[in-house]
Amino acid sequence: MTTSGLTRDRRLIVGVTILGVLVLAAVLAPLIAPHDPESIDSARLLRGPSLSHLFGADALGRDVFSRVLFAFRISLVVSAGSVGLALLIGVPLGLLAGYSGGWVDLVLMRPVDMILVLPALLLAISLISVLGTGSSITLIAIAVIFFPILARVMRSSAQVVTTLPFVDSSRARGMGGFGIATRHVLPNALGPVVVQAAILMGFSMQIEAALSYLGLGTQPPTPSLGLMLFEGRDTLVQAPWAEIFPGLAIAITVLAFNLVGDGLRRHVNQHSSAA
Amino acid sequence: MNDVLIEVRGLTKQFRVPGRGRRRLHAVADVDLDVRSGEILGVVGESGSGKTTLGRCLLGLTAPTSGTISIGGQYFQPSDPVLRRAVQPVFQDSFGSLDPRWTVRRSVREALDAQGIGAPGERDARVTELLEQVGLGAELGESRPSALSGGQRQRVGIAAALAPRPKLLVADEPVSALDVSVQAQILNLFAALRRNQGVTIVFITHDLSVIEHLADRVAVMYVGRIIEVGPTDAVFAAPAHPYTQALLAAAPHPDPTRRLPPKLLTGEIPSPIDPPSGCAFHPRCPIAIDRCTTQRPALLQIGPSRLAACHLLTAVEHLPVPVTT
Amino acid sequence: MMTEPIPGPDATASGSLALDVRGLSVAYASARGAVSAVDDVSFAVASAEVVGLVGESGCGKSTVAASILGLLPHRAQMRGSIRFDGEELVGADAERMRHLRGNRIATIVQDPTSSLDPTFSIGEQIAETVRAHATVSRATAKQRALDVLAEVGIPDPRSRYDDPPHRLSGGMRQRVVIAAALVNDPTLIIADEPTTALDVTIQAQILALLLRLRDERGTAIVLITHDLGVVATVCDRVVTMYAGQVAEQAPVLALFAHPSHPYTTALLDSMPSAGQRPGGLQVIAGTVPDLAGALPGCRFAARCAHRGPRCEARPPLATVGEGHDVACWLVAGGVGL
Repeated sequence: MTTSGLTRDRRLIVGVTILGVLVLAAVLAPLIAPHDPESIDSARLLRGPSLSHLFGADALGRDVFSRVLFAFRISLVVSAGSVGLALLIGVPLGLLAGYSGGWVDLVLMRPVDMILVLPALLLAISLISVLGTGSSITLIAIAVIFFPILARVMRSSAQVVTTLPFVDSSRARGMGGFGIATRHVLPNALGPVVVQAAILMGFSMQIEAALSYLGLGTQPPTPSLGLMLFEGRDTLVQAPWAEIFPGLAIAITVLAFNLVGDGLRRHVNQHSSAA
Repeated sequence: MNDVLIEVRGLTKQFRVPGRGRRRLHAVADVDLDVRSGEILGVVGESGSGKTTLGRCLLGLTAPTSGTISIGGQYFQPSDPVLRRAVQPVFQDSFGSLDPRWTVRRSVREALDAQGIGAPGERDARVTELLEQVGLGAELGESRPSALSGGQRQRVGIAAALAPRPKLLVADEPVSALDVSVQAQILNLFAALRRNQGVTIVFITHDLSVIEHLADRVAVMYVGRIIEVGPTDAVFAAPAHPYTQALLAAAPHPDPTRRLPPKLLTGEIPSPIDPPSGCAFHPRCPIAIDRCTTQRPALLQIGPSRLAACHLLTAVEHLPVPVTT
Repeated sequence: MMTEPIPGPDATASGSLALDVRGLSVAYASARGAVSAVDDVSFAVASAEVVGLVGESGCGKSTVAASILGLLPHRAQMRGSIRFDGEELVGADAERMRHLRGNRIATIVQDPTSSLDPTFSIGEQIAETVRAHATVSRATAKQRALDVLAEVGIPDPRSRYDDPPHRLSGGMRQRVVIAAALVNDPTLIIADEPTTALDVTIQAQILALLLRLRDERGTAIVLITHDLGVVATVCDRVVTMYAGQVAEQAPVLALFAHPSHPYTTALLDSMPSAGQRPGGLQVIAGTVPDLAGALPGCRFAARCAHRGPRCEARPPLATVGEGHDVACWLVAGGVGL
């Protein structure tokens, strides 16, 4: 029943299919990219899309299609890595705070709330100014922005589950706090966190692009979607493809993650209302 | 008749009310209660009567503000695993009385695994035995709660509660979410458990007909206090406290010749945050006297194994002697 | 107080029938075939009569209520006839149903919290119901709301008028819901488990209120409930439903004194009563049948202790007393062939 509900959701199917294709393309980038993404060729400066250069070429004559493929690869690694790291910190934190309540909750969540009130991009930029630039620093900076969000979602979800009678029963059966939190509360509270994580994946991609656009993320010559948007902006009129295709890549990925998040959300809601 | 299994003395539970001031919700106030070994004690009351909080204190899920609970002469501490597993809960089905992600077998095994009762290899056999005891086939063991009917889920809940061989079951509205014909099955099961295994049961409900059918003795609660205790048949035949009388009169009876009583209790159930002075029932009581507004009546003996807290019942006796159940 | 049971619809002049349901069937299409939620249900309610619709979960009683109110989902297929005050409701357009609902047919539901908007004062919500169905001034609507709040027993309605629902107790909220149902002086009230969420002493107050309104205004009431105690306390006639069909209908005294359908008997016997009987309470073995696909015979047969070969065919509604009809072969000539 659980899986049939998931496989019947049309949005979820579309989202997962798009993501599947994109991830496959990213993984296979070295095999399917027709050109070296970093090789400069003055003979094809700002060349329009053609069969040999599907997405055209940029101001340095580099193949946009190959660059989008490799850039997407890095974006995906940064998104998955940052959300994964945020989950690793946020989920245990939120679980502990939500399950324990009282002063534990207060002590754990106050600092988290303080991070939450700071503007995300500003926080990332100040972290980068301290830690330096590069993809792995970007990954860490985004994780710092995200873990409070995930901890919050986990906390409120865990609070709800903790009030359910089976948790009380479990306590009366002599189950310890750790056992109850990990075996009862965590699995039942994880749904909304997974939904949030899927949506944050798309958001992460946007932040990574924004940071790279500002020159604070992935550094040239490594291709990055944000960087490509930055570089393409001077030749927007003569060669719009250098701008459009990286932009489209970001838009489609964010859309796909949101579709998946929405689909999962509806499933999670159905599930909890049925329980 | 029997030994006293649970002794509750002066049990009080107050909750802090969020918001301004130091207001407190008096959920349970100064409750003395004995539960006898092998009996089914019905605890009946309306919203805010404190019956659920009393049950949670018995289960060690809510720490009392003051007062004591002892089990078989031992002071009850929820941290003591042996005492803890002596009291097991059965909750109302339908709102998560079982973990939706756990199989039936895992839920029933939980207490055995958590407390290391029996060798791991023997636990499966014990689970099968427990499922049979509550009238379920072992083949249901691999099902999840969503695949079961309400009655089956409640049977699983009871099997899981019985797993650590408790001395006392505290059942809070265990049949309220069930259809009448399913409710009958579960009530029969409780009666059989008491008869065949001598399990003691505290049965908390708002449903008077269930209490009348199942319980040996009944304790009636109103705004945090017990106002009447006695053998079920005696209390239902001749309720002593005016609240018990009104409650029984208001309960719908499956007998069309007994329509609504001409005089119904008026007014609202008072909030346990600011309970009325004196006897909490006095604002609604048809026979209240001045003394009821100022002085709280004690729970005193009014007949053979019957107690009630009402000035008009106990005032007639000179120098009433406080007697515990 | 005893009320003289009102005889069945056949004995009443058809003009005074508030509601006449004839051969009502409701089916839903599903992956497993058509689900017959309600099958050939007929009953009538005279004015100033309280008719109880009784049965367990899934018996179709709430679907019947939704059919009368025109609130069935679009995918439901409805057949038969529902005449309200002589007017046919099956096939009536949505605008006509909207006009009748909350005006001449009012409804009271189980949970007063969810049927009141938490952001509006209780008084405004009732006044809004007035203005939705009549062009009257704000002042008039407010006055009517105040009158009806007083009538249902809200103390000092003028001071409570601006209270949001959450300031009221559960019993008081249900009084507000009843006030909203009454404000346009409906001919018929559909009350779906109106007291199930309430405490016993409050339930008695609300039931007494419903009876008083019935007596004073002559309102017809369909009371949907699973609680046979509530039925015995307030209903004049009772319709027992099982798996979407009428099992038995009778005046309330006759139904409790001489239940004639095995399901009604089993239902009454499964009610807890004083003392434990040696054999325990009667239980009904088995479960409610799946209503998808063809169900030719008696739908209760699989769980019935008296079933026989004839139960493979659907039993006709046989009359066993005045206004007392039973759908069972036992009373229609035996279960054998």
